[in-house]
Amino acid sequence: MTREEAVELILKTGGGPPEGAPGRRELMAFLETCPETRALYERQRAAWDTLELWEPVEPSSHFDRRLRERVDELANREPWYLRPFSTWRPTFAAGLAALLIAAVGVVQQQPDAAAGRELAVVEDDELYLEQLNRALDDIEMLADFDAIVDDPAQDES
Amino acid sequence: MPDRVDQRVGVTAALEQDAQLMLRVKDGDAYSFELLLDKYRRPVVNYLHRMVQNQGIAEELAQEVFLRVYRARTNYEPTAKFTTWLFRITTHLALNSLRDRKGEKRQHSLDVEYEDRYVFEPTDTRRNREQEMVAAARLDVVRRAIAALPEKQRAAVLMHKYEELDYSQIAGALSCSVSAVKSLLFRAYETLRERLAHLAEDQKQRAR
Repeated sequence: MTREEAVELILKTGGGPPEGAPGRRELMAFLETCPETRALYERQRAAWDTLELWEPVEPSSHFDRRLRERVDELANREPWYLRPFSTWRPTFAAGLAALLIAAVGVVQQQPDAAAGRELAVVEDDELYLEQLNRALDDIEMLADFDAIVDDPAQDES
Repeated sequence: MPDRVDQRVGVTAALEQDAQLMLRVKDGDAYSFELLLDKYRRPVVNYLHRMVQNQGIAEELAQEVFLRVYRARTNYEPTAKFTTWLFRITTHLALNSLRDRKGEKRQHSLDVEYEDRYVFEPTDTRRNREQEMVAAARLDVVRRAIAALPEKQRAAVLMHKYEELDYSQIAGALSCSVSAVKSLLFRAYETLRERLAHLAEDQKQRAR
């Protein structure tokens, strides 16, 4: 290992690779031969450990809720097809169901319509016959009435 | 056709898990966005916290990061590692925020800037008050040392030390070459070794 390689490894690993990691044995062996690099290694190791004093923070409890609100707000401003599937899925499903019901209704209505038309024809025929009978009755009645008017003697007798 | 399908399956399998999640977000899967948020909420907030040194601003910026991720989903292409892409957005926002606040910083001392300084916990019985004060002072030194680094060096150190990103990821996040990252880290650690030397020595003595 050269000094350059040793320095690069120290910096890359923030103070030397941990026990068992690749390059660790070679680095340690090199440090035994180069006091200058050993001093750098120790100072870098110490700085690295000191940085550990800055512990991570926990995001505040309202972080997620607030983000979800903002994402929803953003999604609602986007065209419907860009929105997450979950937000428009219920509406989509309801619309699809309504469409299917309507389609089934149309298909089922078609034989009824034909039957209705047949029924209407039958009803029309019956009405026609009834009207014809009534007309014949009216003619017969008028004929009888005319006969009475034309022959008054018939009344006297 | 089956060949094309196989090819696509192969490409998808080769993609890292986060990129696959992001592609699902692109397809409208909100749950995948939640998974990414769960995984990266803490690293993003902490990186920003250490960059801007104010938790309120850090969280506000982190919200903006995730909103940008969400907004960018429609054009997302997994050309780089997801982490690199995420930290590029995060770093960009952090650097912009620091530049915006530069004017304010000139008017206030660094002490005022540390809005969320170490908070004493009276219920913590493990340490006595003196120990807490020492710990707070040491933490303050670390924070000042990092805050004093030039912005890009600071970003590189924070991604390397605390977020454990490798050189190529840091280079991607900072939009620079790997050799530039090495140079940034070399100079940053050189400065930190000097500024933190007395703390390290003190720590060594305490350990004895």
